Amino acid sequence: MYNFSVSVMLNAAPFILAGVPVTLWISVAALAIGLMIGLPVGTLRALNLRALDLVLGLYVEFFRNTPVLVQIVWFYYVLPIIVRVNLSAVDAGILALGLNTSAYLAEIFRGGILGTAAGQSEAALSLGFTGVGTMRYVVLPQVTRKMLAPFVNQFVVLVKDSALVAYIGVLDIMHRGDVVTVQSSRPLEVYTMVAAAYFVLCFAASKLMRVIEVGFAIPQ
Amino acid sequence: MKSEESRVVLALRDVRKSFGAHRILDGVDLRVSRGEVVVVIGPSGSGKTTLLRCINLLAPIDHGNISVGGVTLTHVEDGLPISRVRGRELSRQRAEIGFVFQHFNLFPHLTALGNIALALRKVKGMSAREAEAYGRELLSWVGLSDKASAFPGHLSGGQQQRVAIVRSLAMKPRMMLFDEVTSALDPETIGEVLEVMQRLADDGMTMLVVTHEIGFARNVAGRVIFMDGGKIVEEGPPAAILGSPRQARTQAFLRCVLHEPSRRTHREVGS
Ligand SMILES: Nc1ncnc2c1ncn2[C@@H]1O[C@H](COP(=O)(O)OP(=O)(O)OP(=O)(O)O)[C@@H](O)[C@H]1O
Ligand SMILES: [Mg+2]
Repeated sequence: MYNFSVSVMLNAAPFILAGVPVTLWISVAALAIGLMIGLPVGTLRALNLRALDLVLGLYVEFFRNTPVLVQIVWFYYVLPIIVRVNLSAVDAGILALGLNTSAYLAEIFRGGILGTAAGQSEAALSLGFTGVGTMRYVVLPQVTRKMLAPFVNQFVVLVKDSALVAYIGVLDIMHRGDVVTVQSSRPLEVYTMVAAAYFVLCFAASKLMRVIEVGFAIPQ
Repeated sequence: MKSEESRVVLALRDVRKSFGAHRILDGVDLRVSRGEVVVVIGPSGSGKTTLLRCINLLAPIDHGNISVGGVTLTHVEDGLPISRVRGRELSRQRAEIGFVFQHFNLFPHLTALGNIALALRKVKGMSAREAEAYGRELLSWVGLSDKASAFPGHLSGGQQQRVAIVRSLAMKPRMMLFDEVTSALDPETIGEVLEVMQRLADDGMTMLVVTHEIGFARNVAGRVIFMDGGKIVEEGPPAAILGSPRQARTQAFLRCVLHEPSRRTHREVGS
């Protein structure tokens, strides 16, 4: 029987945990890109402007219907062939995960806007708000608060999906686990460690955001 | 007569509106004069809400003409727009007419005071202090001074509707539209909302009120309109329409409303 060695785990810990900032940076940066693109795309889609909606719909569906891993690989290996930019593995990963996240956030946002009762818009318009003012002062403030839980959920998904950048060589938590496993031949301890690191990150993120969410909730 | 003409706040000429193939408004002609309280009654689906939404330019019309204070807001001939206000002017004209909704439609993320102050600041350009001061004044007018910092979710239906009324009133509209504003309320809070509406009427507000509160119609309205199938079937003084309607459809509707206890409509409110 394989015996579980705590000392192997402790020895591997510093090297593996050095991947935490990398994983976090990729996740946070991708979330930022996701928000910056997802919010306007979702808002525009909620307005249902025909020609634009076709393009934006295609964008969203592309990212939702291809594997994230393929997207990451595509941005790392294929993008430099098409346009003359050389993205580092980390940047390619951030870009792919960010755009992927933006597609999901756009859908969440669109649903939130459409789900915010039509009556809210009518009330605002009737008071003399323009369409833009209605969005800005009445609809979006409500949607953002209601969307906090899905946002957190998306961030947790992102932290987990970010492990896929190991495939293009980024030294994140996952890839460091691969490296140590090859050196030590102790996959049990190493990957348990890796799993624990992801678990702590994701669990802490959801707990933290739960607190923020309660603070921001619209009083019922 | 010129003087009478200048007293007209709202004028509709042959207004028609369809949703798909379904004709909802089928040639409505209506004039409301300054200070007049007009009550609209009619069966469900007769187009009452649609009429109010068209007047407030929340829904486009397919034909006819709507003007407020002599200014044409929209003029359409058989689907062909002849003239209509747009952009900022459209928003400005909407604010000239208050709309109080069946389900209040207060902004749930803002306090009672915040609900009133928002448009005062962002639409009218008042300072935060001015807006709050005016908002508090209005809240006290409807007996809700102590609820200024309460969120809609923490207010009763009647309280929410009173906030909604003064939120709309704050914009100093030329006239106000009321769409069954008491029909989503618990019976015990209906009276407090009708009382506010009665005071508005007493203060000379021009009002177009869709309601099933026959008591309110009898005691406050200057004129009652019965709508059915997207048309004004009959109109006149409350005593005539409610007491001795001439049209069979009006008679049938009133029999229904007055004798169906579950609709709580025959209470004599405001008397
Ligand atoms: N946005 C819309 N799209 C399609 N049909 C609509 C729309 N709004 C209203 N209708 C239809 O128009 C008809 C009249 O609706 P409206 O709400 O004006 O009636 P109402 O007289 O206010 O009825 P109620 O007493 O039930 O409020 C209904 O058959 C309704 O289904
Ligand atoms: Mg209605």
